[in-house]
Amino acid sequence: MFRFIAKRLGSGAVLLLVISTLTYFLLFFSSSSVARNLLGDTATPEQIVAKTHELGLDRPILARYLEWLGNAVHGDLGTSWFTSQPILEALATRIPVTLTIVLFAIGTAAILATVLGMSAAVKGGFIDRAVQFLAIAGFAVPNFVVAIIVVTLFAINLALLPATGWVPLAEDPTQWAKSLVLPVSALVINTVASAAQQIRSAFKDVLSRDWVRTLRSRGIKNSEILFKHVLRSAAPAGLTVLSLQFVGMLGGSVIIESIFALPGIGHLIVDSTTQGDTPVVMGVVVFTVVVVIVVNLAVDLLNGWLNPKVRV
Amino acid sequence: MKLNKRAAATVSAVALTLALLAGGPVANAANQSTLTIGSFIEPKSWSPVQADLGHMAPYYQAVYDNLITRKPDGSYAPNLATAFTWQNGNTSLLLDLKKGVKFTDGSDFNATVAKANLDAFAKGNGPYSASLKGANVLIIGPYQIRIDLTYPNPDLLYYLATTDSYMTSAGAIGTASLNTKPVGSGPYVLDAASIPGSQYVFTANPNYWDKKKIKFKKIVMKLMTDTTARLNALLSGQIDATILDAKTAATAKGRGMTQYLNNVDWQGIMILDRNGAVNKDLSDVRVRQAIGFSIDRPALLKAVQNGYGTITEQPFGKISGANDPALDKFYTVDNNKAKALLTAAGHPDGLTIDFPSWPDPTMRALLSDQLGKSGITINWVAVPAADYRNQLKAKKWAIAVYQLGLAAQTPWVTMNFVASPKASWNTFGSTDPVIAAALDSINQDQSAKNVAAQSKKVNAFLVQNAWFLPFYQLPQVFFTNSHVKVQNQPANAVPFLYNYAPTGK
Repeated sequence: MFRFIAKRLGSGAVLLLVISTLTYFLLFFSSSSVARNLLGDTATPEQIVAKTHELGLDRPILARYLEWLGNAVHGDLGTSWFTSQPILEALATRIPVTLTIVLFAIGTAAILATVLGMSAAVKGGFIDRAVQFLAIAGFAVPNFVVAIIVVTLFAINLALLPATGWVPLAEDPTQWAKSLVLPVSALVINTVASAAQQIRSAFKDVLSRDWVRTLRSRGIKNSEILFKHVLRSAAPAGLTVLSLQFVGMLGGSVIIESIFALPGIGHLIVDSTTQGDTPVVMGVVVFTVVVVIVVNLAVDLLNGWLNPKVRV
Repeated sequence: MKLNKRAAATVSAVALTLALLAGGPVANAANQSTLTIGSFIEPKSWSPVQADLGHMAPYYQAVYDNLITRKPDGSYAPNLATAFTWQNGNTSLLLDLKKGVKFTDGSDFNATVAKANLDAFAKGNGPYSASLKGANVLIIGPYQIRIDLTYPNPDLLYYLATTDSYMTSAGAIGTASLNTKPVGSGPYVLDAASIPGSQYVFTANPNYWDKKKIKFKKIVMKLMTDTTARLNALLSGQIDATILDAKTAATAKGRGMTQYLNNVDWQGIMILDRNGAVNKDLSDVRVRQAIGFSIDRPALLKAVQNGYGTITEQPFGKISGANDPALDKFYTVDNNKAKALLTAAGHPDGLTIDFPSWPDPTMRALLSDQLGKSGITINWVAVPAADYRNQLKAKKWAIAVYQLGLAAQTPWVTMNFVASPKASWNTFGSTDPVIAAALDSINQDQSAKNVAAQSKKVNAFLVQNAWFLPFYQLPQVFFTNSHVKVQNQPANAVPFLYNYAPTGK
């Protein structure tokens, strides 16, 4: 087990190095004039040259990258060119927002998808058709449309929940919970749609196995078979889908963050990429890659625990 | 039965949770002691050297004092400078400074501090530092300074009242911490509850020297880059005021919000390459004019801006003193005239012109259709939106659709923005005897009357020679709820912070 974790962490470190290197050089080739973006329309050419020098952008790209890498290895991700905010500080304020929304969305989706997927596979008939219909409908309706509908209904017309914003848990737990409801709801629909389908298929597949029939023939209670044996065997498929959804949500939550004016990392990455704020982009990329590595490792370990056959 | 009980318990739990979460209407931030503004952007730095106009202005105005202020009617009023007088043929500005003003770090404001701030601004590399270039600040007395100019700047007061004279303490000037922690003498103090990227909270400065300016105990500026988010926040009572756009205005008005329109920008075509460096065809004024006679401005205004705006053909705004209503009818759409001009210019079969692709597809479709009727084919070339402006500045494009924020500024600002050889938007450095003569005249005589008269000549030249082909003045669409009222600020995208007041409702 230790060797497995060490191996995965080692490959994760290589992945982190490769992706951060690629990102840095891609930013260099794709970014526009950062100095112009900073100084605006009225800046003179002399000001642009001075600002470019001030930011060190007139130095060779390799020297800049090696300096960034050296600092990053020592935990210094630099400072935003556009807000003067240290990157670690910017991430520290935004990561809890995005992670909370995404974790709640994934958690809610996991419960709903499991219930729906199981029900569809076990009961069949109307429930199965209804789940399949809901899955297709869930795919068809983009989450930003769901977001606008729930805001209009629950925030503007009924005034039950806040239309926008984020309240830290430590500041006001009730307002924190309220600020979560609508963004999480908007993210959950799509996720449930895809995960429920996968779980239904996995369940059906496991239910058709000989060993399930054997368990039934031995008089074991149906609920025990379903929750203790079938669910455990079918879980890896759902876990894989949910882990992919989790990673996708980290980057894809930007639309939801915009609609709900949430200060998360999705918004940060879009703004910084548009402006050419390289230190911020690199900081978010490093964070995202680390999360992806950790999530994949956790899913692998969980799958191994659920199904001993995958412990290779 | 067992299942039903479980189901009932589950339903009850969900209902209880929702009821607890709901707990009545969302707390409304719009009480009279708090002003909550939905803001489009956040400050890049709190250093006054990096001060900017437009959406940034209210942030700086919360924590800093200017030497002078600009009122909603465009006139200038004393602030930290109790008096300001032009001397020596308008090349020196004498300023008497207020006594007894303290910064939030406890230090005093005086002539030495004022000079240090102005010097730092001119030497620093901020967006507007060039506006104080060549100024020499002299300390005349403990509370008196004089700004000597080495070149004429009829708009020195404008810049002092906006970006150039936010005062910070002597100890804070040039420090790294000033980028994130303002040290000012302004009516409000940045509160620790502020979170960059989310919201900025300002509490009333208890030691402020002019209590009349503190109309709210607290000001919150919430960062909301998305227009829909700002609309939803306004309608649900989370914010009191915000900028929206032509597409969301009807909804806000329909819900009883108060609308304020302020013509600050114009949208249109800039023909930047008048000497044919990139596109030789555009060096012929007849080709440029043919484009002008092909544009159906009312159709564009209706389709692109839902009718929000005022047709114009000139880059100088109505309050600039250089605006001439007759020029707004110079290019009445006339495809036959456009074709004749093209034929005279050697293009009887029309011509094709490359444009960088403007993001709005409606605008692109309409312009292609309108110019096509005169035989001008537009070849829209894809350009990343984030790089659009930079490519124009880098002289990659001879012509482009653009939106410039200058329609209501003073004539001298506009001259230096679009017309003079080193103007921000004279990217190819075009020159002409008409413009050179006007600039010479202004150098000799900087009276407001002469500046306006010369700017009028330049304005007419820019229109008639099709350096710029504006379609319409574009209003900033600002809204408040019933708790707050505000006055527009000329030449600024959003109202100055001083212009807000509670309605008492």
